[in-house]
Amino acid sequence: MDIEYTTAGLVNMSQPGEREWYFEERSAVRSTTRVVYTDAGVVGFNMLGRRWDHTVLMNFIDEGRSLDYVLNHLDDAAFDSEFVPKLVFPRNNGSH
Amino acid sequence: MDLQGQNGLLSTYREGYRTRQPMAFVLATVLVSFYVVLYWEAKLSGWLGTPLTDLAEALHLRNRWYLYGFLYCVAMSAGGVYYLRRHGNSRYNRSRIAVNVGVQVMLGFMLPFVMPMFGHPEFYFSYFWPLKYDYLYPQTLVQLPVYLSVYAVFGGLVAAPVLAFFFGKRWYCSWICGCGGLANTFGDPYRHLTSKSSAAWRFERWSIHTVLVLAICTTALVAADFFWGADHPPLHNLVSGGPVSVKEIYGFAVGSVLAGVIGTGLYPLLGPRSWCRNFCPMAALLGLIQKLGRYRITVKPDMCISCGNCSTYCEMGIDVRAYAQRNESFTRASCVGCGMCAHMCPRGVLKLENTTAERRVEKRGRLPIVAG
Repeated sequence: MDIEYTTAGLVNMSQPGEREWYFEERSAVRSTTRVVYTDAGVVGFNMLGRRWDHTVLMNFIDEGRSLDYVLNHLDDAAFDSEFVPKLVFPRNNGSH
Repeated sequence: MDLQGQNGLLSTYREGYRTRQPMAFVLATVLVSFYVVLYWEAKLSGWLGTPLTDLAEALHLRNRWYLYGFLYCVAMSAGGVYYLRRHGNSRYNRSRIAVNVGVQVMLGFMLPFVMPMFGHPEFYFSYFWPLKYDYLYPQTLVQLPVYLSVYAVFGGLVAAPVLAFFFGKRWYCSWICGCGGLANTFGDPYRHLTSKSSAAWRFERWSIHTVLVLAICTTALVAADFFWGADHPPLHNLVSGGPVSVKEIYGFAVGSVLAGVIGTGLYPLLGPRSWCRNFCPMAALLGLIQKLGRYRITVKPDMCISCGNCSTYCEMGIDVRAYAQRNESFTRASCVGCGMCAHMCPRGVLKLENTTAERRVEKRGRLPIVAG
């Protein structure tokens, strides 16, 4: 077992109007990134395969940041050790 | 293997040679004896003959120092394999050990061995003042070809400190230096032995800065002797004339006893970094710069489960767990950035970083512990 796992906020899709953004990375690192959001902003993160700083993710939620803002600033929350390649995902290509 | 079928971290320290049991003392005795013969073979030749010189000549290695360099490379390569088998599942560890072993084999052995064949002096590109204390002696600089003198001065006084400011002292201590390289490969089985006590930390702060001051004073005195020694016989006698002089005493005490006999010979008893942690003047200098610079270990808040792997595996005796428990990102002067605390953390709480100036202050939280 060698799994990195970070969950922040609410990701159980229990409220009406919640949608999810999902991306599966298949490169040197295998990871999945799932962001749950509403029109009012992001509400939760479910991350597998990489390390993330949950305090930054919680700030995104508390500040009511939009999905676009979060995807553009996701790098601020990256906590992978050095020399691990950064997460790269195609913009506007996740399954909304 | 554990009877319960568990081969986790707890079962890795069972072997007697790693836990200060009789086998460790035997190993330490062998290593210390080797260094004593290596450094003082001429003085002991009445009893022992000259075993190392004979062996070196039999292997066509010119003298016993090249034999030592050869053995050093063998120990580092074998230790590197050992290290990578245990900790090679991290890209940082793989890169670091590959560079470190490569530098030692190429710059620490092959190049100095080959250079005299082409009419150049033997020169170690991977060592700088104040660790290689004679590289700033005016006598040395005058003798070396210009390009090597420039390299020695620029490397020791400009490049090393500037790189330490931006990347921490790890660029040298954990990536380049042969002493650190041996400690991280051949000495890896003993890394948990380094004392984590407050007393050891107090001793370290005093001893390492004392050696730094001695290194600077010795260099200054040797330079003074070079420029004014001929006109002032007492100065010359004090610094380099006669068998008991400042230059000789520094070389004996620091270069031979502390770096070799104690620093490496006592790996199985004191842990692998006792020279780097307590005595190396280069580590002291770069450590002070590291405190002011960009490198730090970032702690992810409220995640530490206090298992203690980070502190156990710290070869510099830093109680990393104490910082992690307090959610305190930190920079310690002694940290050589081997990355083992971050690697061993089961929850990914720690991260080695070269931050920007703003981020380092902004994310630091409370002020760091200032001294040490």
